[in-house]
Amino acid sequence: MNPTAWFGMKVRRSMKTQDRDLSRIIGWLAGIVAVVAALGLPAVYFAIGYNSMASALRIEAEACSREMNRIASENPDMWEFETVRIMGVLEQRFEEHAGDSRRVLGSGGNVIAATVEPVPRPALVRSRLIRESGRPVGAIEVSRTFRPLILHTGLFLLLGVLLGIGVYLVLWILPMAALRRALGQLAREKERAQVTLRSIADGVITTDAEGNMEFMNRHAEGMTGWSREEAAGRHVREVFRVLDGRTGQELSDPLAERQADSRAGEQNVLVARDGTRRLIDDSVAAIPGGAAGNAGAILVFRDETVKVREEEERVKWQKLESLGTLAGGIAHDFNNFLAAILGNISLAKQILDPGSKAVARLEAAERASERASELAGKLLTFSKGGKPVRERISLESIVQDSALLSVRGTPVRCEFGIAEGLWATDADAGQIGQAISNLVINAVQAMPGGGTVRIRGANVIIGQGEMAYVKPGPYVKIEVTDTGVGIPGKNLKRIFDPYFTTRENGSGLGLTTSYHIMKNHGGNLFVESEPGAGTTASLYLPASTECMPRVAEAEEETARDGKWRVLVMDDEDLVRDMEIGMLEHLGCEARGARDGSEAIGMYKDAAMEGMPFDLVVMDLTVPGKMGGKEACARLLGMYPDARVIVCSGYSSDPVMSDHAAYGFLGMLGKPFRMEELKRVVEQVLAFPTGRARGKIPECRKAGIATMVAGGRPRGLPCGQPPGTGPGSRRRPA
Amino acid sequence: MRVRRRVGISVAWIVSLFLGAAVFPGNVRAETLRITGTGGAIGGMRLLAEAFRKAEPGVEVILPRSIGSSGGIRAAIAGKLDIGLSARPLSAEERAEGGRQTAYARTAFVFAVNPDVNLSDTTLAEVIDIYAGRKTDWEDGTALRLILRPAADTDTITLRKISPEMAHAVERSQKREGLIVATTDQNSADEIERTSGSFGTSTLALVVSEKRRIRMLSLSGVQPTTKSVRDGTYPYTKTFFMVTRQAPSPAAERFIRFVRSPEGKAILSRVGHIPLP
Repeated sequence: MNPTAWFGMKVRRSMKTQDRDLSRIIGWLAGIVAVVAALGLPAVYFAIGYNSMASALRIEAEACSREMNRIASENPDMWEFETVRIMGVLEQRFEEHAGDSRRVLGSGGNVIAATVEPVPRPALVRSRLIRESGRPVGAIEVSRTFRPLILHTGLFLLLGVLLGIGVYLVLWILPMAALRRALGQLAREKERAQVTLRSIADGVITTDAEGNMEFMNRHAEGMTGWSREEAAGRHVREVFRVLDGRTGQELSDPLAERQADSRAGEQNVLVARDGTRRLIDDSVAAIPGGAAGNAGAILVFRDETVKVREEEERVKWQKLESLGTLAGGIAHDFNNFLAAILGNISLAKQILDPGSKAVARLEAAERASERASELAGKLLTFSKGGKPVRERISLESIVQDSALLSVRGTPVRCEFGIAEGLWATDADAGQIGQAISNLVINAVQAMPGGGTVRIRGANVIIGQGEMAYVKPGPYVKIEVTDTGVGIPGKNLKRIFDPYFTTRENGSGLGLTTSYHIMKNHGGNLFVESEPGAGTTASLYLPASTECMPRVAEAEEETARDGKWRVLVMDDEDLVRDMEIGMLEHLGCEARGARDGSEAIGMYKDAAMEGMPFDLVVMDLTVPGKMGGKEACARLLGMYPDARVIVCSGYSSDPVMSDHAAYGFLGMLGKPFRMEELKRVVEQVLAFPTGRARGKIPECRKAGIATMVAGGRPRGLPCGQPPGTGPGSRRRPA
Repeated sequence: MRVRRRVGISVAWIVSLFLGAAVFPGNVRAETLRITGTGGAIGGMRLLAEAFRKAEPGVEVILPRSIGSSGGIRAAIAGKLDIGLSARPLSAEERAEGGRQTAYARTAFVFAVNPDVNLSDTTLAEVIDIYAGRKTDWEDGTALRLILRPAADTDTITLRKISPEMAHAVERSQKREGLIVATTDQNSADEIERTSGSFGTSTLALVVSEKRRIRMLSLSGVQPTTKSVRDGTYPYTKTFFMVTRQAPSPAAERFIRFVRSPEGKAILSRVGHIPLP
């Protein structure tokens, strides 16, 4: 049921209970008043009538007794026989009343005279003494039945019952209507307030004056792990377990200490029922009222875990970004020099006799230069550069290959749990393999005595707000878990720092590089560890939401007569000369230009002379002059069939990672070796153009065939299962 | 010597008086007769009592004030009176209680007015109108003040017996408010005497015997007299009874015999009574 509807129903049910209670009370009150009215009217009538009758009889008896006193005084001996006079007195009437009776009694109680027969009972009797010279000689008795009074009282009782019914209805209906209106208004207000509490994003708990739970909204339920029904009546400390943010000690009474310390706003740790810990901002407000001035408290708390982690992530990213910028700049310049060194060594080896002693020295220098180049490459990877060259890939084989390669020769074995149908991702397969390899190597090093690295792969969909540092969407999650020594908490915060390592032979760049790889792919890397229990590293890579690419199988053999004409543009003379030398060694006819403008001019001149260049290799960055990006755009504007390769030490530049979008047919990252240059040149020259057809380059004659790196892809139909199409092939390293 | 003889005679006389009183006490203590009842008979009875005292000096006759016929009967039966005077015969119940009656005279039942009323004759129809309340003023415009008698009085009973119309008119008069009600015959005569424009009832015997200053009206031209009553031209009369116990006292017996004696009848005839045989 919808929580709001449920809650509304509960409020209405509560109000109905109150309504019934109040209805019963009002009903009782109305009934009592109605009974009083119903009985009061005849009772009052009877009382008034009785008193009136008694007064009248008393007055009549008094008046008659005076007359009788006179008669007795006038005839003391014979007054009892003055029947006519006595009857005259008795028949005097102050008012006409049927059923009246008057009697004169002698001193012995004998009846001397009477008006009529005794009145029907019940009767009211009033008597007065008859005195002669002050001595009582008899009595006069006046009696009157009050049957008529009873009858009239009965009629008034009927009227009273009608009045009582009317009073009951009025007192019941009118107050109930007003009460229902008031209760309805109260219920609506209460429901609105409670729905408001429920709808806000913060957790809200209300307690009574003793700190017992009264209400908690849905967010509070989620964060504490307690349902409303389970928490009802418990003390808040049971449900709201909070550790002090500074000391880590559990607060014995969160409400009291919050109110006493006024530390609202501090980030403490909320321990949920299942042990989950969350960083929270909480505040407590007392509810005034009650006998002691405190009717309870409202506790409002917000889960700040995501926010705090995001902040940590942002700081970490900023720090690494700064370091990356520095490292990238150094690596770029370093690469330029290495390019010249390596190129010249390569050339020198080609020139020298293979049996020359100098060749061995050159090869040693070449290996040293290559190691230096690898180091520069690592620096570039975690630096701002290292932009991945993406293609649609399946992670399963990459993960397995990289992991198995990393544990080879160690006492550690791999255990895979890759879910079937793992989604494809748009990623740089080499970088992803490197990241996996780094993680597995760390796991191996964490288990020096051997063990098992468990690698899990699964498809996950991250919801909005579910993870702080991962955007919502579909992901492929790779977990690498070891059972090693774990990472102490103090080190856990620094594991992504460059060159931070606790191992003697560690470089301190493994996790840093992996982290940057994942960030550059729009994913993330998390490491959870508990000392003594092992470590789990989790990779999140965005799953591809587009159709799988179909890789062009550029297996077309092209034939060409004569040399390929290549134009090399680089501002560094050493590099430019080295590249020219390499191309000439490959059998090409190479010319050099210092910047983009010069290159365009030479290209135009050659084209006008009928000897156009078949290929242009352009340095991306030329300080103060036209660089490769602009020159390529202009060149293609004039000669759409021109083949251009971009060459740069800034592998992070977007042009390098997405060179096809800028019109380049190939990319070379500095430094490069002869083989790499040959491969890229062959690939680009193999790209079919009308003008180029019919020419057969030297490299092609050698039978080298390769894919077009970053070539113009053609898509497969949507619905192709990820990882099963031709595009899932790995790009050669 | 003569003085001694006078003293001796005096002593002997005194002693003889004491001895005589001791031997013949009745001769010393006088008998008493208590007689009362209807007021109409009181006047004639007072004359008879005076004559009886002369005939029997040892009998003291006391005439308390009038207590009405019923009172007289009840008092006589109860022994409070030696002779009760009644204007009506005993009821069966009163007879059963031991009452004994002796009718001794009749007299005219009369309509009377205050002397200031300019009227001497009336009719039965006029009397009915007066009691019914249809006639409230005299011809000269002065107010007519009706003097009523209690409903149980013999005057009222006599009136009702005259005719159904009269009975109805009397019934109505009993319900009229503000009228003077005279409880006894004397009281009625008193009210007629002192009330200007009054009209009421009485008896010839009372008016004559007590010498009341009220005017008895002739009825359709017939004067209420002993003669008109005796010859029957005046139709409305009342009969007086002497009521005693079945065994009255000797003095009462003697008084009754005196009333029915020629001497007694003569006295009654002089004061408006028609003695009965």
